[in-house]
Amino acid sequence: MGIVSVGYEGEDIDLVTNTNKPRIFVKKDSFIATAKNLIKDSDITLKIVDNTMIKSPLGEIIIVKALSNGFIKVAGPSIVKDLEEVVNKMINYGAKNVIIDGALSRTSLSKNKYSSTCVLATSANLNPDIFKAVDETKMFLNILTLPKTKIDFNQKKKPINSVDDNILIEDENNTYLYIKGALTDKTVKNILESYNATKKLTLVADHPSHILLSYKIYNHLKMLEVNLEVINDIDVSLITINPTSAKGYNFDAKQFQNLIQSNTSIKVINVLEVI
Amino acid sequence: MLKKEDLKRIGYSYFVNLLDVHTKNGLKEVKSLNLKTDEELFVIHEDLRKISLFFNNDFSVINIYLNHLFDIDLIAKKISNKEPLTIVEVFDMKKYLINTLNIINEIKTLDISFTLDNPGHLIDYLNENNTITNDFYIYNKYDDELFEVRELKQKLEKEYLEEHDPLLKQNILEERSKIVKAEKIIEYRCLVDITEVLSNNIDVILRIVKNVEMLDLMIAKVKITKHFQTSLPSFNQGISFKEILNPLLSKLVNDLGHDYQEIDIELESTVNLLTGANMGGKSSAMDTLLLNVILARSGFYTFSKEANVPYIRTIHFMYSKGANQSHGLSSFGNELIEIDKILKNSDKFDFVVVDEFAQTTNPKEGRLFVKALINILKEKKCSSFISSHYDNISQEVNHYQVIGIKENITNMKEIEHISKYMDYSILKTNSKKTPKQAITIANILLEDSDLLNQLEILIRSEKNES
Repeated sequence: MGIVSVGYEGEDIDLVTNTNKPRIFVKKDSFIATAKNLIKDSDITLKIVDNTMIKSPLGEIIIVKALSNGFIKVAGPSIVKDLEEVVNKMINYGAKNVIIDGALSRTSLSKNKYSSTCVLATSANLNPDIFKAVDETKMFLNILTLPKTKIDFNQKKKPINSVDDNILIEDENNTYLYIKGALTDKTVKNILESYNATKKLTLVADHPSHILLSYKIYNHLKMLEVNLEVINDIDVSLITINPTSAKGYNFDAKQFQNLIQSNTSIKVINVLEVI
Repeated sequence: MLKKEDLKRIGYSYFVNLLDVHTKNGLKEVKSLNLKTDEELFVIHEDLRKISLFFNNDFSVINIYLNHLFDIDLIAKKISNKEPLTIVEVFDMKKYLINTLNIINEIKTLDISFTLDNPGHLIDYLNENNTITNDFYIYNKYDDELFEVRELKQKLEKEYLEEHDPLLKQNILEERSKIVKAEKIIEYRCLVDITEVLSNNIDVILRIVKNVEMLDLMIAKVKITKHFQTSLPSFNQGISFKEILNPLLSKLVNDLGHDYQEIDIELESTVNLLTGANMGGKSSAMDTLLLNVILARSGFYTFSKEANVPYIRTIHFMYSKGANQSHGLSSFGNELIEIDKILKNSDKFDFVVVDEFAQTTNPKEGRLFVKALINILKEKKCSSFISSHYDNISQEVNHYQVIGIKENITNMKEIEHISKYMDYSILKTNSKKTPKQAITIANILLEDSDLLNQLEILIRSEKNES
């Protein structure tokens, strides 16, 4: 197993929220990419496999192999290209699977180019109201699992306007609009203002990570029965829930798990039950 | 010696960027402009010839090793100071030594003037056993207690995973923490010992670093010969070049879609004066010559078919900065101070290059300043190359002229294309006059111009008067 993070993980206290964090436990023979200055803080017996020379605020990114089980702090590269390099190196050194510890703001890492599957991790931290937390998780899940469009936009080279390079394809009953770049609240508002509602509208983004909609606008699109599709879909293979919040409240673990599971066929597990 | 702005102007900075030098000190040596004696150059040339023959056209393998060279100055400094290295630093040191070994194996048949010490014994010490591996950890072989502590740690880890009672699990974790602490103490002790062993070999390490950097630079010098016509200079009297080229100017001309004209230059070991038309290439010729003289005497190949550059102690260079002001002095004031300093510090082993001195003052006085400069340089027996467009300053000096505009050119409307119509060759002449091509250039550049009309009136009037 290889482990790499886009941020800084493994510290006892979250540097942003000042709340307790679980440490990262690795098993013997795992590969870990971490910053040079964090190596001394690990309690595993470790072998240095590579100094990637990729810079990070905590020193170069080093690839180590765990010669024992133990805890380790992980800080990986912040640039996607560097992350790809580190992942490839770990695979070359013998890691059969590599876990990229991502972030909600870095869903672009879930592109097939960098990773083959994606795990959605949600927790009570999202919202103190269990139903709102479930709804927001559902929205993220729906976006991550948007279907791949059947429309070939390459057939239609001409953009509908030269400014944003969006491509419009219409048939008798449907309008398909390919949005080049990010699909934001503002883009949606502009589209809806000029949209003639006689046909069913489908907005197509390049990748789920390009859909940056607020919960409100996302629901508004659902009410208007506007479809969302993507050119490049991703595979979500697992959903993990953590029913405890670092803010001091807990959900009923079973209820949280069941509410999310009732909306998807993807397996949902409670992380506290597998530790 | 030359300032940074001078080096940029003559194309030396561009040349440095062309060189594929990987090491920091290799690059430092290139930038140091360290002029060499004939004996030093002889040794360097021998090495360059051997390296050139050895690699012929294929640098692919050596490139891989050179690309992996990184700066270990800080690590070497820590070793010298016996400051314990971290595990990553030991890994970096080991990697550097393995890379050196690869380079040695690649060039082991070469009999060059500097030898690369074989770091085999140090690599062995940094390996777990007799097999060379590209990784590193603090092996049990470094300390008798390490094996025991690690065994205990693994045993506790196994027990922790098998135990289900949270309280007992916690107890195991606490016990493991003590063992981890003991392991860390022993590992630190090992790092102190490893640093000690490396510090006992610091002379070897520093010699390896220095010589690998020299080799890196030598290979960079040879690599550049694959892209240009180059030659190693001889050291006889008088500076001379055949088909000399300046890569920076060549690129600028080629980018405009024109062909760069290589020229021949043959100077004597005294004052050499260059005159020529405006835009005729005097400054380009001086920059090209100066760049190649520096390269020749610093141990590089020159960009020429043939080169001869005798021993030079120091190079002095001054060019007219036009109407710019600095330090509150006019450009002419600055030139005077600069020239005075050059004349005070130069001797017969120096090479003085002065481009268009006193061009911004009135021609009558300007000519006197240039003549005074020439007289002093002659007295000092300084080898020099002076450009000027003043008349009657060429007595008893070697006078060269840039040919300038080719004959029968009457229509040239785009100034950027002027190089198409110029002949930049330099010819030795006995004439005391400088070429008068400014009006010819005005004629072919301008059309229906008041300036041109007025010029024609004045020329006619001067002819009538004479």
